[in-house]
Amino acid sequence: MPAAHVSTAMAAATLGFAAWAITFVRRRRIVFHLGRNGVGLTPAFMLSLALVGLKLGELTGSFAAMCGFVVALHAAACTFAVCTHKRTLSVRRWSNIEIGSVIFVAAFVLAIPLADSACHNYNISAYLRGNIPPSASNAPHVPLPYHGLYDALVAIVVRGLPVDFELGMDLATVGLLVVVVMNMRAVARELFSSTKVRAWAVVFFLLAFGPSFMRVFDDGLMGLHGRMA
Amino acid sequence: MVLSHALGSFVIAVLLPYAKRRAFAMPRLWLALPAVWLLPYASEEMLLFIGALTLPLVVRQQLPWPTLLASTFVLLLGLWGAQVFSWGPRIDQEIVFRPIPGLAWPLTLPYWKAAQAGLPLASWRGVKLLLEELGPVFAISLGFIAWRGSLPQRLLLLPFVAGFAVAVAMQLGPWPKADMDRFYFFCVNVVFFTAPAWLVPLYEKRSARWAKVAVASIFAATLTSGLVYPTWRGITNSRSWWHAWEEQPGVELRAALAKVARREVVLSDERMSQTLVNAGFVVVAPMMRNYLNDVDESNFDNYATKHQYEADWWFLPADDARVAQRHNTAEAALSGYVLLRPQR
Repeated sequence: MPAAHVSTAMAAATLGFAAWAITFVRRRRIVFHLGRNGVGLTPAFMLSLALVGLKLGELTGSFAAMCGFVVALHAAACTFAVCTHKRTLSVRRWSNIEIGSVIFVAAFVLAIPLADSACHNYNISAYLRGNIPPSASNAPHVPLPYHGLYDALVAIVVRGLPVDFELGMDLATVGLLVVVVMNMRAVARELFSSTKVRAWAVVFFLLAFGPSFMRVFDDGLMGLHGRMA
Repeated sequence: MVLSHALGSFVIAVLLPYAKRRAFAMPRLWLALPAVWLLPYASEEMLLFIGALTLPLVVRQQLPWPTLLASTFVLLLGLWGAQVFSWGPRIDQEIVFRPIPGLAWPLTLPYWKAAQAGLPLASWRGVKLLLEELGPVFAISLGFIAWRGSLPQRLLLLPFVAGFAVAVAMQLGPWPKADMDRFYFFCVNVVFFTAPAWLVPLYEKRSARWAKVAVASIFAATLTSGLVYPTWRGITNSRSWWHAWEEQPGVELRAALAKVARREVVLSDERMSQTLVNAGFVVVAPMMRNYLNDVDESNFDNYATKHQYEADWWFLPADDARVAQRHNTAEAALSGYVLLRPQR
């Protein structure tokens, strides 16, 4: 079997196992080690384990090893989880305005080309070619210090599905967006007592930018702060 | 940006219960250690945000000291490993352009239309820019939480305050000052996050119809600009889906030039060099100062002549004079270009 097919299979298996592991751990009582908001915070914790796996795998200089470390760490989390009972306590469901705003932002991310995708192309390709960790694009002995963590994650998505870099970045961004919203729901639960305020807080976190975006009609895209976002 | 938000918001969500000193189901802080280790790899601004939020908890002794020590150790490990901090300051500017942080005086706002210098904060244009970008709901939320908010709510404002201070008081030398916008702009939505704390009760308490309409209008006005811009961008600048299901860009190049080892250097012309970079190859080419991994075509010939002997491979047009002078056979070919080993 060609090496490219092996790495595609490994990346796909890594993504599949990660999705299953998050679901599995969320159903066990072990999540309450993350506090009363543990169910919502579990995806972020599993994401941090996956990223640690990617960084450890980078030390070997192998794309397959990066996938292997991610699977190993997620498997370890599942092993700890299986030692605890199933969770019976239910969690508060997402409100319609929370779901609607996440769908809106996700559709926006998927619909438009990202402003700075060009600067990520080299990094993602470097991971796919095995230049791990990526060196500077014009000096093989100098490490490239920017965007490594995100681009390693995107490289797994791109190789595993497989999709183009733009869509890979979009899908990774949407996945991370959902993780952010779950975290912010947990933060809202700590800060506000009213469920209505909590739900609107998440919507404001996602969509409220004051009059900032109206400036694009005066200044154009170049005038905006945070335009890379 | 979204990755650092995912890690940062996780750390914040684990930390905040400690500000309330609640005894029931407190999070185990050590479970945030992987995220803390990753923060220096993710973004510099998120490190500042988390630092600003954690400092009062440390001063008030609301965090268990063993975990605090472990977090400090893990953070130092992350700083040592993250190349932005460990290797970045030593990189040759000719290879990878990098910022050189320093103090900015007078204070300036990051502004992409004056990317290098920024806008003076103490000027009408600077104040106008700030008001336009943040708006009244932001200002009221900031004041309301600072005045009436609980400790955890007030903690959430600190990242913005710290980020804004750094954004206006620092410049990055030859790197665009405008890039500092991330230090406060990426935290603006955390302040907006607190806005419903005064907006929702205001709406619920007002019985008069006009008052309800007024508060609902503030809701709409704050959210509308966030809806209008993405919708407009989605309609006018939607992406192409032609190659969405292929590993593009560069899938053909990576297959055709499989003989080039992962860190071998390729010499090509200025047009193909950019394509090679996008496909993940290390090339003999100067890079742009403001954009990462973007070949600087204006300076290409001088740079390529100076560094041509660093090339392990040539990937040149088949009719190029340098190819005609060589008698070794091409090891690969694609789109009119041939891959050769240079004869030393």
